[in-house]
Amino acid sequence: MNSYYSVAYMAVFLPLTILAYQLMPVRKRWLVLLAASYFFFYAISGKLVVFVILSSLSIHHFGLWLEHIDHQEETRKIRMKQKRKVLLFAILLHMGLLVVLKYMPFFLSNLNQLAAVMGLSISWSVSRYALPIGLSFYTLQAVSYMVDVYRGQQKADPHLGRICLYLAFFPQIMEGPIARYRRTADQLYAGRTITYTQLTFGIQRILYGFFKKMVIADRLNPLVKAIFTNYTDYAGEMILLGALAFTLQLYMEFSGTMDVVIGTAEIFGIHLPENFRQPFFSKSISEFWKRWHISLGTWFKDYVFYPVAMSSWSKKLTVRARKKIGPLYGPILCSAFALLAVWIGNGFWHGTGWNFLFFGLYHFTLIFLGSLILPVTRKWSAKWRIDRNHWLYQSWQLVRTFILVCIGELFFHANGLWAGLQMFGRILTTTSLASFQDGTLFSQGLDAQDFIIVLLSLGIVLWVSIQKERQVSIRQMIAAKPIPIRWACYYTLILMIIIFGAYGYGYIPVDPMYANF
Amino acid sequence: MKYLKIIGRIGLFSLIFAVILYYLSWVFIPKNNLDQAGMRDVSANGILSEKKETIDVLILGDSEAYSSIIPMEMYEKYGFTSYVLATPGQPLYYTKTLLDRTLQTQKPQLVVLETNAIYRSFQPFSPLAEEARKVFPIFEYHDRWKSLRVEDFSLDIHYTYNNVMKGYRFNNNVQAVTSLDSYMKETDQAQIIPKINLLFLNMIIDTCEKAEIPVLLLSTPSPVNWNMGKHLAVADYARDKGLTYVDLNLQDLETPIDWKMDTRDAGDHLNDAGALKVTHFLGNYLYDHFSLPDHRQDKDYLSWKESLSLYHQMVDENRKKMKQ
Repeated sequence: MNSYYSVAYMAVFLPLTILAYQLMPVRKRWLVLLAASYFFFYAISGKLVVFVILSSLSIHHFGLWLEHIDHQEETRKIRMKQKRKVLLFAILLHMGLLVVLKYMPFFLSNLNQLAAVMGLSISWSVSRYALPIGLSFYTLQAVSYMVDVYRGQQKADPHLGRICLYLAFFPQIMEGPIARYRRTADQLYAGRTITYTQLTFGIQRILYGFFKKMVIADRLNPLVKAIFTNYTDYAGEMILLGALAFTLQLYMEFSGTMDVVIGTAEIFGIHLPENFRQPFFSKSISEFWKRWHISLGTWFKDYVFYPVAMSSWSKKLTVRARKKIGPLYGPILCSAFALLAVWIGNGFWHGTGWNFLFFGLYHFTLIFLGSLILPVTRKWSAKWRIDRNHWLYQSWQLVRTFILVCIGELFFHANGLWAGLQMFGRILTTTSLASFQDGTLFSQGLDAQDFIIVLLSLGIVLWVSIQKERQVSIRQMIAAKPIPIRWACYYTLILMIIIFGAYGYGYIPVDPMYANF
Repeated sequence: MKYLKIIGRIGLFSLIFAVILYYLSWVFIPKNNLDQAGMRDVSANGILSEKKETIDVLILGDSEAYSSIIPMEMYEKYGFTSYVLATPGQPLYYTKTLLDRTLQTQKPQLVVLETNAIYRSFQPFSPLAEEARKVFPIFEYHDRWKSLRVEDFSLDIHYTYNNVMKGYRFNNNVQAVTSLDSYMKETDQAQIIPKINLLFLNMIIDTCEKAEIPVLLLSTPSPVNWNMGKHLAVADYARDKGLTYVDLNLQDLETPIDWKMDTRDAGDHLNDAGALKVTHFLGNYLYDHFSLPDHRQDKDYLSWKESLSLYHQMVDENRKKMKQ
């Protein structure tokens, strides 16, 4: 059992968990979920399960400590000071562990390189540690709980089991979404009885996730792998295609996994936050990040952006900037500091490499420039009588955003920053239509029939996305049909996955893309 | 009542789905055992076109088996027929699948199990997926949607591939072994056979016992894959089960393996020269210890004679070149 797509998980683990959950008395159902979660964690990360257990014990303790300080008789100022110290210590402990396990090898190897360049005879030994699965996800959840308790937005939970389940809930441990305690903990603990509707709706969502992952993401894998591994062998048009294919693959894999995750939770009557909201319908990069990996974006907004932007020095700076630069650009320039902190964090959260930092800074630049030039473009549009609500203008915005996203993903997936720059350079300098005419296109692991299947499947996902954008629930729509039509829909979807899925002999499935973050 | 209704509905849904899947499996299954027809593991699946009950010795195993044993050489010298039912990296649960399927059409007088697969690890739930593929072959052949023809919907299967090598895979590359220092180094520590492997090994032996077919355990020479610990464990197992075990890593062959010349990949697998030496020993051993029939003058086995001539056409020229 190594992912949500394995036979062991889908055919054995999940059905047995559902059965055990349903048979257990309501009050003890959370124990089934917790046992299943630790078993799942252990099956993938072995003894490293101890990390998530220790993290749970730790936030349980720190939460109670923070609340205990609140009940002391000192003045508010003293209490806040004490709480700040405790919180800082707790965050350093959790983030420190993340940094040591995940980032230390990266920082040390760069320090060694820097020392070598400077001619210093210093060298730190670089040890790589085995990472427990989902470390970056549950650490952020742990921090959010402690900060919420500190802020008084969340009462410290004395129930250790509920906290353990919040950090380790098996459907979300691998790739999120990054949940908040106040919205999920009670649901996890409630032990709601599984109903027929929950079961069927959950399974439908899981199947749709399988469709996205196995029919599209896995089928695109050979093409993406070939181009990103041997990019020097390809002309610009193929690299462009590779960037496009990777962007779609990433979306299909990640959002598909989210469908599996959210669908699984739905079976148990638990509503996890959505992580995607049709991101390719965004008209700007800023909007894109409100629709893509939403739970990460809101985490950074709540726990990095606001604390930096609302800090006393930032407020003072804004007042001064407002006076010197003006009421429009002053606050924008000041908020750039908070924005920069968010995007450096976002970049590094995704991985240890300069290309990830570049990825973060790239999006920071686009969002910052976007907010800077927005007043200007609005002015020009009014001057030249361009209707910004016209479908043609909005289409241009969609295409522009999509292209910018694809460029970002090219750097994200490239084998290092230098490789990313070289790939981008090849797009600018060697692009023609030659590879689409000389047979290169169909000799990279995907033949014409594969491309047709990918395009048709993308068409289905596009149609579903349009319906979602119009607030039409397809599951409700299908559920309202008579049984023969309903079942025909389900059979069609399952058979499409079985027949057109890229699995089995000759296929290498895509590893869960966000599982190592 | 409400629960019964739900269970009934789920049951009916599953039943209809199973019927659809079963029919589609017939559509997707290759209608011939040729590579062009989409058949997997054509070398092993060549046995599907062998005449009913014509194989005397069934040889099971992984790449060690198909690299080391040449059925046509044994037929030419002793007259008994054999087939190497081996695939690359074969896990034991797949060995069991192939054995079960083959015993539906063949009645071998002996089963030879090459032992390397006994130690091949696999995921505990892989046999479950194998069972699903067995019941619904669409899971294995789903990718044939690209090459489906009208004939596929007729469900008419006709196997025509005549594998003249009978499962042996000719390879005359040479890459010498660099060190034999640890090869079959003395130890008294048996290397435990993983429990799940033992389960499937027992199932294979039981199947043969039920069909009254004796089993010979055979370890072909391989410094990379075999060691004394494995030898001891397999020898213990053979003793417990009352099976014959021959370990060619310890046995003196008439012409010993030259680890500079007789391996294609530095001691992982034998090449053709090594296979000839193993086959020479094995043919002689089987002839001496098992009363196997001689079909060389048998009219029902004319196809084997034709195959023998084709086999020589295919390999003799290459062997001559190697000798030069």
